[in-house]
Amino acid sequence: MTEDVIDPRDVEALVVDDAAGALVTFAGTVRDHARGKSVTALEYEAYPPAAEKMLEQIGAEILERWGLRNVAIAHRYGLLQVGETSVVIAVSSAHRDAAFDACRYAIERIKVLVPIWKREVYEDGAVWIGSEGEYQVETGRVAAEDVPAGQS
Amino acid sequence: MITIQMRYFAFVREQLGTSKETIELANGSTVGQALDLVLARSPRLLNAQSAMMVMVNQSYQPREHVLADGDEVAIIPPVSGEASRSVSL
Repeated sequence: MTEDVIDPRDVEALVVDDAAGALVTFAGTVRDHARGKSVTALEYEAYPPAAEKMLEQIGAEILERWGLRNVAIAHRYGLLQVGETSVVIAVSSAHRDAAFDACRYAIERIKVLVPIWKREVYEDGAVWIGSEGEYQVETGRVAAEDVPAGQS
Repeated sequence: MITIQMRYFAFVREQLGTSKETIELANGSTVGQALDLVLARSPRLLNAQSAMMVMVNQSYQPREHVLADGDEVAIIPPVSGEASRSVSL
């Protein structure tokens, strides 16, 4: 967990291993649009010690399940601009199937379990992602029709 | 009585107007009872009660988990817009 800029190459360097035949890196970046609106920035709020603990748990889980060589995960929080990297997962393994599958699984687990919240900032308001569908239609902030229930 | 340090984040923090507070509960109180007490302050949080998860000392715990004096209890609203939170921990 860091508030500083993440360079995917730095995370990748942590998992390099001579016994690995595959190295897969996933980088999540801030997209300039969501639900038909222009996104100007993304704010990530975190519960840092608990988030680190969950990231370690997910890393350990994929390491064991796919028999990987190494795993490194970095997640940024604070205010991020469009195009900046929010999360990087790097895994190395003997063979590529395990590396791709483990990386994909890790990002899905992170999005459900790790206590980090994303607030999309638009030109005319902002909304907490994950809390919009069921109960966050803030008067004057975002229109109900723009946040279909359950949409992520 | 036991003393619990509550932690609030994102939408929950905004609705309650604070990121942390100390509350007192009867001995033997559960995660569910702490959650009920706090969410009852805001009708909109109460509506979203089923979407909330709870961490005790930074680990997810079920509603029936019994709290101990000095525990840190964090209310965790949905982290990424999952429509359902049928999560295996």
